[in-house]
Amino acid sequence: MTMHETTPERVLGDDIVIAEGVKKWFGDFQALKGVTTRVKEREVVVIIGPSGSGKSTFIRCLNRLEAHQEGTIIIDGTELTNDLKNIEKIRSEVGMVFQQFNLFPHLTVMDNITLAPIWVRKTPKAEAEATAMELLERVGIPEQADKYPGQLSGGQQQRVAIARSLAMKPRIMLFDEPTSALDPEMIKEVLDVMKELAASGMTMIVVTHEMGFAREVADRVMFFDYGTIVEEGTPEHFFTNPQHDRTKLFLSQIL
Amino acid sequence: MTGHMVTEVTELAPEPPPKGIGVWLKENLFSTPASGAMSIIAIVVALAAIRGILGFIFDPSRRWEAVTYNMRLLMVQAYPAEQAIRIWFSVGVVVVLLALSLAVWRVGGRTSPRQVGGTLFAVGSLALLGGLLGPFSASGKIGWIVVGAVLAGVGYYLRNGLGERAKEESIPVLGAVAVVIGLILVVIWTIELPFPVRDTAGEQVVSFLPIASSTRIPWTIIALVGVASYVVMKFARDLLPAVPTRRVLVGLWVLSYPVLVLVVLRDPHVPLDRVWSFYLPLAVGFAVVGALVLNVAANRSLGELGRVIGAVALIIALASFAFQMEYVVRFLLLAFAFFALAAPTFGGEGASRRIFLVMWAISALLIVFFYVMATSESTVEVPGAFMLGGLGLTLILSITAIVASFPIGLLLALARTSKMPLFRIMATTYIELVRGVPLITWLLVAFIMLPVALPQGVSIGGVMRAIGAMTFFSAAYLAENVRGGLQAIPKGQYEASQALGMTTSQMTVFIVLPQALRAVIPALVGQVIAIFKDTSLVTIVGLFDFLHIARAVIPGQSQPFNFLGTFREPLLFAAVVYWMFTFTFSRISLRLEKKLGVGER
Repeated sequence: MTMHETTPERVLGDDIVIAEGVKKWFGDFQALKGVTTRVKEREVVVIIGPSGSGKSTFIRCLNRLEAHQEGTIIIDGTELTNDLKNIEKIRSEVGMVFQQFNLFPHLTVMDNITLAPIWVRKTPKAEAEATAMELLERVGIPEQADKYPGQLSGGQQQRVAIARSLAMKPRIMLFDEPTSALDPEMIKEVLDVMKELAASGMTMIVVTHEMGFAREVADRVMFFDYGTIVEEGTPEHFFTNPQHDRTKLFLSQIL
Repeated sequence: MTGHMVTEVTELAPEPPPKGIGVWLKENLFSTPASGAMSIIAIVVALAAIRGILGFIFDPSRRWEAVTYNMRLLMVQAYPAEQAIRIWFSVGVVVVLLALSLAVWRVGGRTSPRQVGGTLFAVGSLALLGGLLGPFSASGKIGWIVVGAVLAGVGYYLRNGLGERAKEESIPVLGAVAVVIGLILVVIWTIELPFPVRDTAGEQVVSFLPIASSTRIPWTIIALVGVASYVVMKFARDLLPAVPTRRVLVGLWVLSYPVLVLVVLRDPHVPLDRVWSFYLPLAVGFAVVGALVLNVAANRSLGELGRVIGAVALIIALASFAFQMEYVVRFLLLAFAFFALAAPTFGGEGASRRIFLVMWAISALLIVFFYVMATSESTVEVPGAFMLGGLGLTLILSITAIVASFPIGLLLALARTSKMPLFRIMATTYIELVRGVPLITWLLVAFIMLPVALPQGVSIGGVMRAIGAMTFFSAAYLAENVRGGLQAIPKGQYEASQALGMTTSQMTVFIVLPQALRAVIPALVGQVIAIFKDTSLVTIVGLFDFLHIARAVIPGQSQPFNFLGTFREPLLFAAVVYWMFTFTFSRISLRLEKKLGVGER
């Protein structure tokens, strides 16, 4: 329990994500029952919780893949409303990595990464390709640039997906169970990339079941259940001294 | 395997023991008494069918000369013989493009002697069977049997006599095709077939004429040029950059059709003075000024201005229909509005911006070019309404309808799946309305009711009306096919594109449509086949398409030969030609399906 590595000290900045009383319904089912939290710049927040607890819904609300119905979400000073221009602006600043990778199967790895920078950010193609190669080297697979996603392993695909998000130079990265669809031997390669990213000072909100990652990298762990944040705190506090009964029960089941 | 390679021991699957014909028959045809009885019935039926067909084809009272003498009529109808070089040129262009594409896309793998042998064996056996069953004279029977036996024997040897070598994929498919082309050339230059010809008095005169006597020179030249261009491109492709070469070829394919139909076949008389005084300045003006405006509209730092320019361009283009002006100006304004609307999202930066502007300039020039060509009077004088009839008209009808219905079908599919209720309802109504009425009814509507509905002084030619009816009909079916592809795209693809900040139109163009179309290629080829066959319905409204000539024109001839009442031979010929085209399409579809791995992910 006590042997967590010392993370390089990150100096947290101002609040970059502000959520106040966020509520969300799917039909009659209330998925979020008033979520209030703040995330600082360069902070790494890990969200855990049982399935159906609303943790994925919450981070999908942060880039408007789901629209919240009540409460306010402010990303880097811009409030998320129905205004399309705000949504486009926020989406190009918030990167997202999905459980199922969601790479574009008809494009090569290189085209997957450069498509959005070229057409959304209007980066000249040569520049976008140079950035893409740098990112592929950063995630450790520069030799796969000309392959199609279907030719890669799950771990490699997820690393391409991370590179694809980073190519937009986002200020915040959202991870929606990034290792849940991976074979055990591939989980580490993805987590290593995420650790490196955290060390580089990226603001990250990660939904995951990887407790080792949470303990090692997170500045803060958040426990979701029944659509609310039940408990949050430093990993130290969270894993050694949880306060809430539900948190204790959940941790006893998974640890 | 040698002893030291312990790690890599994989055993080959055991060879199945060779089976004799007796064993094969027992396993496949006579495994149980019931299947044996059914096999016997099927064999008897098949033999009777072959005998019946051969009996029909080789009956001495058949007048196949009704087909051979009318070949030009069947192919192009009344297109003047002295201008035939234009048609040969068009065929040649298509053959050359085909040969270049085969080389550039590296089509055609290798095949094994086993497979070639199997094909030869099947063909030879059929010929042998025909010789035994067919109503031939003794010498004819012997000829068929000998040819059949030789082919079957060679095939059997290739299949079973070569041992392991038979399985090696040693024969290039295209090489085999070249050999077949060569054989056909030899045949049309050497073998002369006797045709029983009746003169006007009804006396039978047997005359000899080589197959395709008047067309063997052009066909030979085209075949040689085709093979030569393949060989040249085969060596040149390694020196050329792959992607640009393919793009140029696709561009040539796209341009070849309108150029051949509007320019080569029509040979329009272009009013040169008007081109210099009006059309050329118009085209250049639109290209240059348009490019300057688009350059501004694509500039992102100006924010919403780009979208405003697009909206203004669209309003001007639509308003232009309220004022008196040349149609070409309206077309240019519409095209410009389209580009201006696309500029903010697809204008790009740097090199992509330059490509976008060049694409606009080329579009403007092409629009004016084809407008001038299409509106200038044709100098090819053809009695009757349209320059081409027969198979030529059938091809023009089907290609134009397919190409034109494609964008309409795409838009309908997108509208039907869109979130905006107005678009959705309009598209659904259109699709259900059009699909619920037979094509033949729409053709009759276009021919009988449309002229009443048109304003006075406006008339549309018969061929254009048929093309219009077929285009709008085909678009409805195409939309439904594409919709199937759109629905097959996983939700994650939309989410990933949205999370990257793409606009809806960027997502549609770059992510959704490429995947949707890939998934429905087999259905689209099926649609192409259906439209090609459905063109035969225009015979009902009196267009001289391929079927109409076979069905109504030839059996009505009394000069120079009396073919009155000769219905069956031209019809059978027409059926075979339709089948040859559609069978080719369906083979291509199968290959595409395999290559794209449709159904697998």
